[in-house]
Amino acid sequence: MKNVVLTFIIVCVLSNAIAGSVVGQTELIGDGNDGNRSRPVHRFELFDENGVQIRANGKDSKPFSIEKTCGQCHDYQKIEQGWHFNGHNPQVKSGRSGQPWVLTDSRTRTQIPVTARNWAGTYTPEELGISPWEFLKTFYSHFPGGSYGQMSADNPDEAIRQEISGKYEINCLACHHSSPHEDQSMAALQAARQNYRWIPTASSGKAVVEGVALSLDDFFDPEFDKGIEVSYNKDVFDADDKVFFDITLGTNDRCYFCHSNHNLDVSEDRVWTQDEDVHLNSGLNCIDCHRNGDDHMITRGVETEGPGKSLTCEGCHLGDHTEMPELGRLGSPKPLHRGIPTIHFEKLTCTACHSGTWPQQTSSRWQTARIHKTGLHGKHDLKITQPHVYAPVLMKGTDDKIGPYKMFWPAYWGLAMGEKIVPIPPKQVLEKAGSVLDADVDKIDDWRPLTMEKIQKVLLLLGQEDSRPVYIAGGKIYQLGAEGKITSGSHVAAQPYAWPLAHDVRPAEQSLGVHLCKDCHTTDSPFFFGNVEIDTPVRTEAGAQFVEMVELQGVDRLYMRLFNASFVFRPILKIVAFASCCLIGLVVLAYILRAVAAISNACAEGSKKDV
Amino acid sequence: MFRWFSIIGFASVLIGIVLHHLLFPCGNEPRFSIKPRINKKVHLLAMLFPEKKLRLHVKIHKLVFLLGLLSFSVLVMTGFVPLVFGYKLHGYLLMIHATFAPVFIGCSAIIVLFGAGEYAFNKKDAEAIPPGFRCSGEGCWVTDTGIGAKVGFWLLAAMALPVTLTMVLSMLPLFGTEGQEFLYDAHRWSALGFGLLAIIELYMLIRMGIRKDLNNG
Repeated sequence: MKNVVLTFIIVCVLSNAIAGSVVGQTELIGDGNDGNRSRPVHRFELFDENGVQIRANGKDSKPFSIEKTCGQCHDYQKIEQGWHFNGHNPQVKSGRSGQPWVLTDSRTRTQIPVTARNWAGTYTPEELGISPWEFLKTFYSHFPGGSYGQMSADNPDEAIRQEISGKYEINCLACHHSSPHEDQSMAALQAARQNYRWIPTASSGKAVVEGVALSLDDFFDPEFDKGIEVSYNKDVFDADDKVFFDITLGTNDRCYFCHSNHNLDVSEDRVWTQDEDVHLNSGLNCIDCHRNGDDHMITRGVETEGPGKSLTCEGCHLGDHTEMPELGRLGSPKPLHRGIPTIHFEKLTCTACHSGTWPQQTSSRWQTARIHKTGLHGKHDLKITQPHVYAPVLMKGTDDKIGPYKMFWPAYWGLAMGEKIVPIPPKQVLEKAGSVLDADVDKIDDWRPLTMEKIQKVLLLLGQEDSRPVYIAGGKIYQLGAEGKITSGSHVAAQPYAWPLAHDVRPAEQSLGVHLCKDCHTTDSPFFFGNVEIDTPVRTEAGAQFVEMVELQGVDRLYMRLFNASFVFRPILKIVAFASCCLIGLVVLAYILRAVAAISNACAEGSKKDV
Repeated sequence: MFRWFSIIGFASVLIGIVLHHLLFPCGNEPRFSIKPRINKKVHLLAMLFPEKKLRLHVKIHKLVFLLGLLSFSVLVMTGFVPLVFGYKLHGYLLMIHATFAPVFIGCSAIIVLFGAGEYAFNKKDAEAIPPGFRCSGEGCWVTDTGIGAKVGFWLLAAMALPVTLTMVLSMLPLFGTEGQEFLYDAHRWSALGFGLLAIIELYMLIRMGIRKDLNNG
């Protein structure tokens, strides 16, 4: 008996080991790369989320599942670890700060950066009491699927709704389906309707989806009840019931849906006058620089991430003078930077001079696709104006270099616990102080204005025993002082949230420095002394407030003014120096000639004597 | 590397001057008595001011020399002191450096123009060179005959050109990044050479001045 048990255990262990090694070695046909550069044709069967094939003549068609369909050939689990889909995972290296999601609430005067990535100044959905289900509901429009979209809801009410709506799988087609029928606005509309499992099907242009999961009651059974209908276009199926998808690595159009920015200084009827990034105009695509392997860890163009310098500005535009140069890629022109002292390359990022719009005396307001939900056409065009995102703001980053940034001023109610500020979710603020934060106040500059009296009342209502209620807005922290009076001051939590602005890159002829020093080194140059509005709902007698960029650059203002003023005398310096050099040169030359003449005379006299 | 070259260079020159002064003291006074040393210091101070009896152009020459000396000191202090402590020249020090640079080069030009005749080599210089270039027990011919000062003068005049041009040319849109790096390095190294030589030249001029005054009684 003992031997039988032992044999059984050994057989189990061995079979597990063999199975494990086989699984580990198994590569799906879409993974890896045999080096052939031609584009694989994507003609394949569609499968629903239960793995049942969808056929042209099938009844009660279901939406196709990306995991089951694309997962036939590609390692879906591996792709899930990619940059676009791992935003929920704090274990992933966060890298340089990027654009967060922004939770806004007009009534509580809240605009707060949200991400699970470890970016300074942001808060995680968990900290704000946002469940994965609520996250999807809030940030649905430009969400690529996966991540929060696939998490099971813990809350029973949410779990019921998730059963109806399905999970929001990674929508591979959003980036890789280059068919002109691929409609991201439709994807957003389906997400707004909570038709999560239908999103890839509806947006692919292969089928029409009718019905709204949001309006179905909790007892709706997606297996048997008819509520949302899918009608596949019959001509998309071939004789083998396979469907062709025009799959590419990614086209600019696909990237643009989530990565567009709009300068509000340019009116809608003048948008056509704007240029794209100079690289795109020159024929490059986004993915030429922002590349990835099977793991979908897309490179962000940052030296400290991914393949290092190789896929950064320097990677293409500078050489490395090594025996086997790795830099200087893509036949990019090497900048001469004539007359620009090298100190600039130590103090500034490439983008400081080359990216964004030319700095103005006051930074413009911008909209970004993800924050302001742009690109949604028709009846779900939202016209979101908050938060007010400012750009280009030339400030010092964590790399200790000055570069252009987009930024906005966080505003939220919170509890001070020591030095840390813990935000109070808008829902909770409304529960406690909704009576004070009335909704019917006329908006001024998109904000419902807040008076000091109102802040005081809300703070009194939000008070807790073990913590001090505060309100953060416009770079200040408001709290109750002695005798219940409002005091304001500075706090690190009130600092603007900023992320680097890399695009659009301007052509060399439109870059800072094209007019030499005077583009930046004047006493009123926008680069140093441009203003950024301090955006706040708090109304004071002082009116609109601004902060100069020099303050955000960590540079002494007086020094910068004096230094820039000294450029007035630069021409004099050059003239004096050149004139002096000429004079010295002439004198030296004259005496050299005299010396030569004297030597010559001496030689001649010597010769005469000899004669 | 440049930092260590600078530190070693300045230290060597200063030590060299002290040793030279100990080996070849000025005048006939005992070297280490207090009175002559105080007298010398007062004398050095007095040399910084133009005498009333001097003619106008000599006065101007001397004032220009003093202004040049002041700006040279500022340039050395702002240019090399941060370097010695491992910092780069930036901020207010850079502004001061750039402010005094044109003053210095302007003064240099005037000094060269006014002094070229005085420092031109002549037959007497050739005669003053001892056979075998050896220094006797009475003094050092290099520093005390004026030949060293003349050589120094012309070397400084020649070196002022690269020191100045390397910086001014970098301000013009002529040189790219690599050219800028070359100009910056050339400025640093030529400025180091100029600075060291200028200190030696000053030492020789002071020695000559003291000797001249002592000889005049």
